[in-house]
Amino acid sequence: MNVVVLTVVNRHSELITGGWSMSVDDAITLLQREGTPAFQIADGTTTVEVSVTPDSDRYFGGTVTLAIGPDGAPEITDDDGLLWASIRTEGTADARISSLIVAVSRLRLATRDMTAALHRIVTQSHGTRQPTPQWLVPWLPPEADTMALAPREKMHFIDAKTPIADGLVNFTAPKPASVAGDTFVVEVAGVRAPRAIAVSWPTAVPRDEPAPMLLYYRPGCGQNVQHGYYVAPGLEPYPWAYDYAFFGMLQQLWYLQDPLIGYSDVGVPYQIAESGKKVVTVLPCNSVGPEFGSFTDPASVLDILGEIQAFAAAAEGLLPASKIGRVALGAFSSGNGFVSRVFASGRGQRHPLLTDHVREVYMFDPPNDVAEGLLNGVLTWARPLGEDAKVRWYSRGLSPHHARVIGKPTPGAGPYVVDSANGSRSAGSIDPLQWQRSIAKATGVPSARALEWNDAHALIAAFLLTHAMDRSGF
Amino acid sequence: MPAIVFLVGTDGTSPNAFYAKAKAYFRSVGVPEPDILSPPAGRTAWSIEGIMLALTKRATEGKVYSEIGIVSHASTFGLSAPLREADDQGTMALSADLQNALAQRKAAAAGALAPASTAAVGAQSDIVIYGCEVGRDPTYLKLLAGVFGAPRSIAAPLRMAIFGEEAGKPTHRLARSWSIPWKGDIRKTTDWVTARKKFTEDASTKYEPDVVPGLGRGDYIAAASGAQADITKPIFFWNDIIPLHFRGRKSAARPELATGDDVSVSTTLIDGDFRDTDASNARICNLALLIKVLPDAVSSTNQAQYERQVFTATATPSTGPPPAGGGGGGGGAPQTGLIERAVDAVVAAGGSRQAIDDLLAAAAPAPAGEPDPADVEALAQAEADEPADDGPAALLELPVAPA
Repeated sequence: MNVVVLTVVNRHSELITGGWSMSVDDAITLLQREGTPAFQIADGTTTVEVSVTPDSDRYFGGTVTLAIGPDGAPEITDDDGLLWASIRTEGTADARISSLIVAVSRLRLATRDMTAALHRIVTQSHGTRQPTPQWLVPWLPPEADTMALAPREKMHFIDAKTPIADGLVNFTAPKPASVAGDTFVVEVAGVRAPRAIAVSWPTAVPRDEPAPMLLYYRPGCGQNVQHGYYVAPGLEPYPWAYDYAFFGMLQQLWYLQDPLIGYSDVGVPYQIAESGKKVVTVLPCNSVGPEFGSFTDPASVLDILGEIQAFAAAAEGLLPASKIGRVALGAFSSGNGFVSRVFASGRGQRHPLLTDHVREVYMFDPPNDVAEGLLNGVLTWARPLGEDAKVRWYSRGLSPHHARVIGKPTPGAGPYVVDSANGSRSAGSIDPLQWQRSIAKATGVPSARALEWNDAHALIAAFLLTHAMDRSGF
Repeated sequence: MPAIVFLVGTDGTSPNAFYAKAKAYFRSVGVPEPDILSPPAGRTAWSIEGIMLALTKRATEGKVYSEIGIVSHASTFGLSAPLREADDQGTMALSADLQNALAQRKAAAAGALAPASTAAVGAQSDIVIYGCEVGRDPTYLKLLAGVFGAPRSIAAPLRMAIFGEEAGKPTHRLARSWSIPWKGDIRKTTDWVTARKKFTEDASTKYEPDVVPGLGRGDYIAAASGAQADITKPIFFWNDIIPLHFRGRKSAARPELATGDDVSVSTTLIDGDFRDTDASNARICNLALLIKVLPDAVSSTNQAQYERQVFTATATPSTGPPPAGGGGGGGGAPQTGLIERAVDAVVAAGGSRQAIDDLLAAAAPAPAGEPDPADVEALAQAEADEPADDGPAALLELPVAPA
């Protein structure tokens, strides 16, 4: 007889709780459904597929394919959807017992779901919201399991070493920009939000070592519903819908063109690459309703970042590191309010996410209603960490909070991006008119219109991450 | 001889009161109250074993029944009744369970499930299942009859079984049904226009007239029109929950019965259908069912309504498959003890006991800790709905076309 004992574990190699089910193909003669799970392989079988699905909605399942040798010894030939699988066997062709251990993930690859959603563009108006222009379609990443961030020509970045010069924002000369690495999307099991997370993993970051990560919170999306986005008749539900795929993920990931021209894109991985740092981009896609949901809870954030690291390692057939590496939290606009939640609770300040991993916090134009609470939480977190805690705060105007951030008076007028005495903190102020003058100088073309607050708002996200990353401890 | 009826489960909070209405129906047709049996005290469901023990006990008291009715929620996967008394009361008796039980009995394995006494279930006994669509799988019926012993016949409906009320009188009806996997409970939809549209689109894939000649596509489209989750109406949507371990099984279909009918189309569930959880945290698949109650009176002897297997001296109930595994000493196919038997066999063949112990020890890692209640509460708070922020809105903008 040839029996295989099956064990299902999580990425920590712990037996998962809540039970699970398995199904096997026709070559299996019997499942043991009580006690330790096991199945028997019929004589003459050459291949067996075992599908495992945890009862808990916290995990996705997967399938192991076993090749059965002439002596009945099973060998793993594929482990689809699993973090890893291993098998040990003892016996002979007459009698054999094997132990198959499979590790299930809280994530599944969903790049194709996201890229497919991108191509289901919104073709109708919803209130003031206009249909997606058809010219955009050829520029979108094709529907596929992988997503390349295309290289771009003649891109401006902020000069991170000297961000302000001669009273204007100091841009680099136009130059090519590219991201060397894999970009993919995962679906998260067992949460209301974020159920989709985009990840850009630089080639230079090893997948089996503690990974440096930037976790970036985009603005809340509930505010846009009144304008015809995300939730409207005919729009698909979260997360595999055009609005979530485009605004929730792609617009944070890519630069469609030079951000001095179309500055609604954030290009997070491009800005990281420009800074020269090797850091993984993690972009949770928030949802109308729960918004960032579990990603305002430190325990959940740490768990999912660990799952992302394990998932990336598994994709290359590697075992993951036991811990993640240094983490930066970045947020734009109302996204800062959700980061504030992470710091606000007593458990947050004591949680290993903040005490052991988060070492950088970047705040891009936080709204006034969250600014003070956010800063209180961030400074409380930073105090015991000393110079290792990096805090960067950029606004579209002067702010009384800047002096608290850098520990000294700020210049009386902008634009400025100034550091604290030890360089671990920065504060910046660039208002719409200052952006307008700076862009006119950089491009040689005066703006056709007066930039408004929301232009400056977007430009801060589109450019100043490069500065924060350049100053980072990564 | 009189009839006895076993109401396998209880209604709990179920809105359709299936068992209560069934009880009213059998009262109305003259089955004595003491012979309409809800689950015994302390149980939420009769097991098949329990029903057989009860029948055997009653036979010893001189109470023998010609018709043994079993009212149970069911599907083409089987009865929603546990097989053994010790089984979880929420489980179903599947074909594989019946096969294993018969194999164990055939091998005279210790603890094998015994049939009802021949006095209780024998040549005088007709077993009638009142459970949705169980009759679509004649093999299942033969196996179930074999588990009971040697009844004269067993019958089960080909369609959904509905107990209801018409003009104040309890009724038993069958219903046409069209079922497709559905993400969530269709009854909870708040947008019936969209739900109906999606249902009929998905149903067109399954009930495609080109695949099943003569199947009237217009039937389900017409039935869906105006239907909602109102079980008092003759046409309504319903939700069925299928536990994970049915994945990949196909319901039996009876294409020879009626082309142009939903009965001729089987249901196959795949991994991707199982995405939700029910209150017990079990992984499940939701089915959306469009149900159209048929007005005809129902009889278990009507071949258009019931599948009936009649057993004679040459056609007996199933005694189950041969013992699985072969070459293992003819020891049958017990569900437990598989590992122990394998270990013994490997050691007998010269394998290392120590190596096996090491191997099995590695297969028993420490379990993951239960979630900290504080973590659970924090996550629940984190996942609560957020109001749309009322600060300066970061308006979304259409991209600017590259030059």
